[in-house]
Amino acid sequence: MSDKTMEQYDLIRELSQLVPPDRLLHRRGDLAAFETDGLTVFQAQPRAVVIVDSIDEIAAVLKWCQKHKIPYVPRGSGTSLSGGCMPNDKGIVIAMNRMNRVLSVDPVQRIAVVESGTINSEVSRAASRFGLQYAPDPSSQQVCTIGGNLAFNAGGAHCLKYGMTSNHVLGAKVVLPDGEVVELGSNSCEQVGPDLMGMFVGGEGLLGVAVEVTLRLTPVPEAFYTVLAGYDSLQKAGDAVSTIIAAGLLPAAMEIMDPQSMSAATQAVGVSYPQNAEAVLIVELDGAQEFVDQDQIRLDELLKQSGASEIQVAADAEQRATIWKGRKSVFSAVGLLSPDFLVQDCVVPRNRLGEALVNIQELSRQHHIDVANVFHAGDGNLHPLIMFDGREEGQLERAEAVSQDIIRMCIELGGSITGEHGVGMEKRQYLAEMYDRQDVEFMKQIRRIFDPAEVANRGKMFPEGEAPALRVVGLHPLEKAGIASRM
Amino acid sequence: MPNLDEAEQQIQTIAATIAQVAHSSDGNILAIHGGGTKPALYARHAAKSEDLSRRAAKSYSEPAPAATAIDTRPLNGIIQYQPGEFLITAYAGTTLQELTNVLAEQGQYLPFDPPRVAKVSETSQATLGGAVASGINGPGRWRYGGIRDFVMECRFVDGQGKIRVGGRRVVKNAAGFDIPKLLTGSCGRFGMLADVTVKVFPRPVSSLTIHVFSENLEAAAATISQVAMQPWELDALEIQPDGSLLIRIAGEETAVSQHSSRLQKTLPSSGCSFLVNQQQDLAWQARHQWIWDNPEMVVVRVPLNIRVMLDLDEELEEMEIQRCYGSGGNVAWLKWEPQKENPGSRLKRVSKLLAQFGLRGMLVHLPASVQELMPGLMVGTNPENPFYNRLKQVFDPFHVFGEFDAA
Repeated sequence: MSDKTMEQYDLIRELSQLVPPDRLLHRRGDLAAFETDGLTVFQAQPRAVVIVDSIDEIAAVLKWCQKHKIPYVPRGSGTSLSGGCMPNDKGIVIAMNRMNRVLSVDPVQRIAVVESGTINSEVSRAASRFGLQYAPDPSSQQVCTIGGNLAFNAGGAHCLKYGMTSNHVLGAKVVLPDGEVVELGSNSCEQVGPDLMGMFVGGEGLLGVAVEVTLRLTPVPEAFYTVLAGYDSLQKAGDAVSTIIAAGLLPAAMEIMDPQSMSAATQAVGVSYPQNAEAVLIVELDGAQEFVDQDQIRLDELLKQSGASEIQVAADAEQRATIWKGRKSVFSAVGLLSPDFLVQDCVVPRNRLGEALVNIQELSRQHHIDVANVFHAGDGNLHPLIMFDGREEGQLERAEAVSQDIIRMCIELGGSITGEHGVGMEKRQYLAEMYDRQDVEFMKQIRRIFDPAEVANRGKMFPEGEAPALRVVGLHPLEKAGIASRM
Repeated sequence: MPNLDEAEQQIQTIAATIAQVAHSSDGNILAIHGGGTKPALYARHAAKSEDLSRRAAKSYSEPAPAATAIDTRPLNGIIQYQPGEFLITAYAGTTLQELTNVLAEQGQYLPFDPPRVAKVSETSQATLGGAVASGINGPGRWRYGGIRDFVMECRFVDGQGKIRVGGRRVVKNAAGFDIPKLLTGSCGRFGMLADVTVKVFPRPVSSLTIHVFSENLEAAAATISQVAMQPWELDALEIQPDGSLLIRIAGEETAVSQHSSRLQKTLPSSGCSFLVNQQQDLAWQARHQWIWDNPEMVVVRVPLNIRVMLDLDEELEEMEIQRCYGSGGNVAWLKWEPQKENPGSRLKRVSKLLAQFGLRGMLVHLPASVQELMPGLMVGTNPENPFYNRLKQVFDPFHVFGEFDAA
């Protein structure tokens, strides 16, 4: 028996002291489901998976990991698009899925307390009987968990007006990487002292594991006005966004799709778009009826003046749903156009969107790699979809080169390497390009004060560290099944 | 026009001072202040600065020994403003008045509605740095969120005199730890803000306030619950000291008018009146003054929720504490005049009461007579928080910026 086998034997024996056998997975077949996440180009097999059931179990497992310097990654539904919950092959996965209860919904305080393994859309479902909702709406909201949303500060189409996950988290019970349990924030929208809760959100699991989370609920908007406008150039669609902003309107969402994105959505869900359009702009107003009615008049006028070739207005909830179905289907639908693709998530200042899109087209041409574009235009959040065929030699490398150049372009334009997916494994080498090296070192100091052995989600966020090899494995099984999509 | 080069030189000088204090062994503490409009936030540290001594003479604060003041007001000026990006970047010492004026020219505003925008005196005017460091929002936070939701990037000097940047000048960013949020409300205990980038929004062109009479706080809370669960587009929702409600609706003029009429029909039959123009301004000014213009009073700000509010209020009534509640019952403002004999007794009782409810409050104003009795900034519960302690070790390992609570 080799040392390696002995170590594994010891590891399983010790973990079996912490969780019952039916919640400890260690056979190769059982581990396969945990080898990758939404960024399917990476794969690694963890040494074991513990399916935790209580805060005490999590604390015990984290203490054990710290003591033995075993890396761990907490995992919800594994939909991270930045490789944020990729396992480490020297470590274990802590599966949070059993801790999925909505503990309370209080319509008077407008809060929900949920376990972190709760599915995002379940929160809104539980709140809906009171006319309330949980506003952050990442595309994977039917499957992604609140814990994962917290870790990566997930966004969605409606961030411009409503903010990201961080803006809707009031408090949490958190297990720190050494097993200590702390309470951050409270059940009030207000606070005194430093915003510890805000600091934790977006920490990519490096600062601890959120277990119980207090979320802010908001009333479901009374009225919507959703418009889809076709343009003969991306530039015109981008200009329309600037015009709407300059006019003082604050739409809930402003999205742009290019012809390839439209083609993918048409093939996938049968949505039709204005003929020969080189870009479509989706604008959604929401709120109280009177405000939507007034803003609608101004928006219609602005869109007419913006040179739109065709304007489609959603006449009812069904047509609105169709527009959004098309928009939200794009990422997985691109799988119909290309056997493989990389999805990017980066940000540029809004007034440099046009420049960024021209540069992306040029990069696409240079590298002979097709790129589809769909983006949250209201906040400059680009999602280029870099299409390739991994079976053809050199295509993956070229696609990677396009991806890298796009990220660096965003940094140069004064933007961010990620708007809503997080750094994860995918973008860790760029963190020190976007931030000053000393500022990255400062963030590392923060990490190490909580986790001296650097076992919490090791290999994520920061440039160096262990990482599994890049491999081509195609779409995530959930995407293939049409359950999850990327945004 | 402010000289931005001068501001940069000032930052370097301040950083050098902080480094010097951090590496000296005299135990000196640095108290950072802007316009001094929220004096309790730094009062106990304020010692050697002449300007603070002058303020003390106006009964604002009594300087305590062994602290050196750092005045951020020389860090003054707008660094970047692009209305189309919804972002403005300014040095920490830039006044809120200047910011709001510049934003208003482009039809934009600070959605978190910071208090004390107007000049308090010739030498005292609230700054952007002070607004962020205090984390105090105004009534307008109801609609879109508080300061913590709008701070996107900040440059700061840490407790070792190192100049650092957290966040990014974009409206959306998920890269790295969210340091700007941590510094919001940190009252200068984690670092000195040098410049800040905040997200801004289009400013509503008109507004209207409905004054809703309530028989008691319970009735007001019931109205809030009813209103808050419905998709009303409210700009502010505040409870007045007499238990009545101020509900502000803001936006396009016709929509404001129609929406208010519809809302009014659902409000209690106890009666309500519409306030517009000067009447409206006066009502909000009066509320602001009730909280902020109390040179002889102790003022405490307490985050809570609407359920706790009702229970706490009964106790406060018995203790003869004046109070009002903001943000739909998410924050309490308490105030009282210290008794001449035994001036600290009521503060201790309030602190004990808040602790019983598991609440923690921040002193935003302390008259001189009470300062020596209450050296900390916080009252109420004070649980040991390892998350805070560890961050403090990284941001301010030598404790040059002091603590929130007295040892």
